[in-house]
Amino acid sequence: MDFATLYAEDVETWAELQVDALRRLAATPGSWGNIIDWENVLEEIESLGSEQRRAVESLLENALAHALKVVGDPNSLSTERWKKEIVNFLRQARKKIKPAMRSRIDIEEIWQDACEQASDTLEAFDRTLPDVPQRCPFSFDDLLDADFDPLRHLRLLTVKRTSRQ
Amino acid sequence: MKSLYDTDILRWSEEQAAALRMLADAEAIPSADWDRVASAIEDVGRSALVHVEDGLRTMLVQAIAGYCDPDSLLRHERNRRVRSGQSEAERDLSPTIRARLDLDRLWREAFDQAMTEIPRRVLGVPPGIPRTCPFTLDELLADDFTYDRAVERLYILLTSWRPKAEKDRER
Repeated sequence: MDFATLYAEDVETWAELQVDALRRLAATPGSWGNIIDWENVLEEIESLGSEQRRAVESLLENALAHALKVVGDPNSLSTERWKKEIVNFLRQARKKIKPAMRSRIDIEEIWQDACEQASDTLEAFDRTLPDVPQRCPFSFDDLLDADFDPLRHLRLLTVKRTSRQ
Repeated sequence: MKSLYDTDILRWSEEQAAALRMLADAEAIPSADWDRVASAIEDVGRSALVHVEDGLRTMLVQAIAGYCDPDSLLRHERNRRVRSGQSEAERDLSPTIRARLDLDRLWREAFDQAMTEIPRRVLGVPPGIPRTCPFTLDELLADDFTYDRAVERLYILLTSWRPKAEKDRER
């Protein structure tokens, strides 16, 4: 794959290759050693590589956190706004995601963060996080399916878990 | 030593990009996408400039809209936008950006944007809005620059403003 394609389709791998070359160059004695601000250049290229993926991760986290809040506090005045935002966040995430991100996105970590985020909000209003599994009940493909409705899934899930007890 | 990166991001990014491009032509350099790396570094400075411009333009839009539509119920909202525009501009301001700013261009852009924001019931735009920005950068960035202040200043500046030729004739 040439650099142009890589940059367009998998900017994170592109950035890793560039960072690698920059580091090798930085370690080589040469007249450019004093001209180039290696530390900051490296940092900028690294963050360029990961910023798109991070944006997708944060959209997914926020969508899941909102869904958990709606299920945990269905009578909140905020539920209508949360529901709208869930749809909006997921739509944006679908737009921004690229196949190459798949192996780099950690669904479990997103789920953990979403649970923490939701539980912080819920507890501030004396509510608790609904009884959901420790491990993320959704797959990467679920999250990116245009028909995916995290609310319906979470409701079903919590009903199932409660009735089992 | 504090890097230019912290004190003057636009100059830093332009110098680094130029150095990276030179380097790309050197021999015995590991193969990499040097031109795109250089452009990415250049974008760091450019986007800081764009942030500062966006912040200042937001402030000017609010001032012009407030001048044209003084009774607007949006006063609080506009005040908030002026504040957030100011902090956006301050956050990324650095010497080279300061020198590169074209306030008159931002002023004209802000005027066009304000015209789309003021409601239809506001008939006609008050006369005397100049083509050049009546505020200096330091005024815009001053701590006491608020929406109300901005509108008031515009009012004073612009109602006493007359074409230069007219003033000369009076003399």
